[in-house]
Amino acid sequence: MNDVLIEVRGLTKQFRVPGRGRRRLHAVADVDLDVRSGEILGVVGESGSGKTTLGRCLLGLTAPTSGTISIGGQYFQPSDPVLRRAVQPVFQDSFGSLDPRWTVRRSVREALDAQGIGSPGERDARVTELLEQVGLGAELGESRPSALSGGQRQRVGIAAALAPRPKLLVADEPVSALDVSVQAQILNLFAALRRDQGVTIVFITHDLSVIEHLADRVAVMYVGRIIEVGPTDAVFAAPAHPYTQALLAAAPHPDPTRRIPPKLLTGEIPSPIDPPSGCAFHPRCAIAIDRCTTQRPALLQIGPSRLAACHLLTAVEHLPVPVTT
Amino acid sequence: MMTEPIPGPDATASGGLALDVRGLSVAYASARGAVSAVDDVSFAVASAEVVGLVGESGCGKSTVAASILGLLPHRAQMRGSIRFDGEELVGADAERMRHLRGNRIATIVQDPTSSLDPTFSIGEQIAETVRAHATVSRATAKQRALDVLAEVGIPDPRSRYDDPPHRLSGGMRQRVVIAAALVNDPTLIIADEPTTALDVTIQAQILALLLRLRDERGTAIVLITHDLGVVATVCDRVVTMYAGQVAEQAPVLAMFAHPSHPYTTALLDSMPSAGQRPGGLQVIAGTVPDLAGALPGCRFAARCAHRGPRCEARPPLATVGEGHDVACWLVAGGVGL
Repeated sequence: MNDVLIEVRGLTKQFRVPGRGRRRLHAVADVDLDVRSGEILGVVGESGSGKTTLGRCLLGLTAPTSGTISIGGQYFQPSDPVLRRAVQPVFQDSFGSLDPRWTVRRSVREALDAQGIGSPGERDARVTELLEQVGLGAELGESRPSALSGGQRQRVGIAAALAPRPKLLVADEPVSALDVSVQAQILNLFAALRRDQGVTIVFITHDLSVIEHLADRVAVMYVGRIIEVGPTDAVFAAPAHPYTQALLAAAPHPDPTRRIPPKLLTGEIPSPIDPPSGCAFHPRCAIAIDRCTTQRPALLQIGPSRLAACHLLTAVEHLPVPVTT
Repeated sequence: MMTEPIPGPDATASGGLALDVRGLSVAYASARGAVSAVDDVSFAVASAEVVGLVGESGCGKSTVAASILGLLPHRAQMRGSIRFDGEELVGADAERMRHLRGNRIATIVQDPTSSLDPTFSIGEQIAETVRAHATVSRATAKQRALDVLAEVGIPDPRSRYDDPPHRLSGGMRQRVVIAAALVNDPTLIIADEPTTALDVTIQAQILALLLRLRDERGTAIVLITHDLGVVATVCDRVVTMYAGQVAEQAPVLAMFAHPSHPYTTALLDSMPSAGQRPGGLQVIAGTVPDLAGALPGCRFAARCAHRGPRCEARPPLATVGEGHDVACWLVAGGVGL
């Protein structure tokens, strides 16, 4: 098993709700998570699950209310430039993050210039190398963003993120705005970066088919908490948590012999402002028992490398989690 | 709008079809010549049938929807025939189209906030839709609104009736939009990416709702989507569009089991599914052609792995199975000369 690169412990992020007294939005609640070196970890969840806030905390863009993040054993202070460089973002809208007046080369080079990495000649060489890595020809280096297709812009965004040689990429819905044939190109690029260069990637998305295709492990979030973690194959083959089961059943498959399941999850996703007591999923859960309404289930090991937070699952070992063996 | 209706092969009878589109072309004048956004598109939708219109950005699927709804911009030039329940819509006057829209032809769009007025309660907006098309009392209109809100699964409609749209979640707002679409019992619903903005568990609820309406009311549905998972889940038949033309149309099972146009095949192969394959996902090289100027041949040819000399000419629509038509020389006698 690979070394742990990122250790998240007890991460909590609350936002004040304006105008309503002391109400708080519990975006991320007490999250423990390990990211292993060289893996693609998928983080999946619906609206209000906290997946984007978790990503922003990893990027140092949002300061956690409590909890810690360490990278390679070192605690992450968002202000520390060395660590800040170690985690780089790829966002959904790469056009919005590129300066429309700058050429592609300049946008990619900016990250190196701003952080004073290498001599000017080395930076030029590095930009050429990066453009090649992400599959953009050298001639596109002189283009401006408006001349590029959506897929090409996303490649520029990825090149800029790779420029400072980060330890971790945090990609938040990086293919959601792209047509499926273009999406395939970008997914292939992420797979190649991991395979050829050992880049570690936290891949945040609502799209289960993308996770199933790309991620080595998957963490499922619901109303601010991780409710299941495990190897992607195992989780998709036999989801343990009732919410994961419902989520996978609801996802439309490109297979017309599998139509809409007769048993659909009813009800709405709860608001993270007033999450339900006990297990947040209990109001929608078909098999909830009394205990689920009062007591929050802990994330426990339920099988090899698999964790889930559900009172109705039997823990194989009563260990505090996460288990990093 | 310039219109030029041409008689279709069965122009005299609707043949039980809710919608019959024949030879529809839509072009826009531009500095670089006429832009052919939709070119010679034909398909039909029977009552109680869900037909998917699929394709990537710029394939013309939303232009087809706007043509059916009579919502093309004035500068658009439309040719061909669109028969709705036997009535020709190409050339119909604006007054007639306004009467049909929201009444017998309803539409559901991706973003429910854009089709709801933030200053009126959800109940009033639906009652207003009733009164716009029928002379009924306020009490009757309100009762119909309450009934349809219950039908689409708004819990306790009486207490939600006076809520403004922003009090509702995204999924609930989309239910309100569907309720407004249904309240006058339309013959045809045009749903343009109706679940794209919704979470997956809510999307499943909305798709199940559309199917229930189809079954209980016999509503014909044109579902415009880029999501092949959604297509497989709810559609009876699929029309795949590429660069303004129909590449392939087929019953949904045949489309997924035996895709016959190279574009359909490539689209299905580019979808992520279980596990990373050694070669990665298939990608479609190149980009969609510029639709300005003359485009005499197959519009997919430049990106097609199977292209041959014959692809310089436009391929005819060849039948490869029951209700399964493909516009490709591969199935029309080969790509060689």
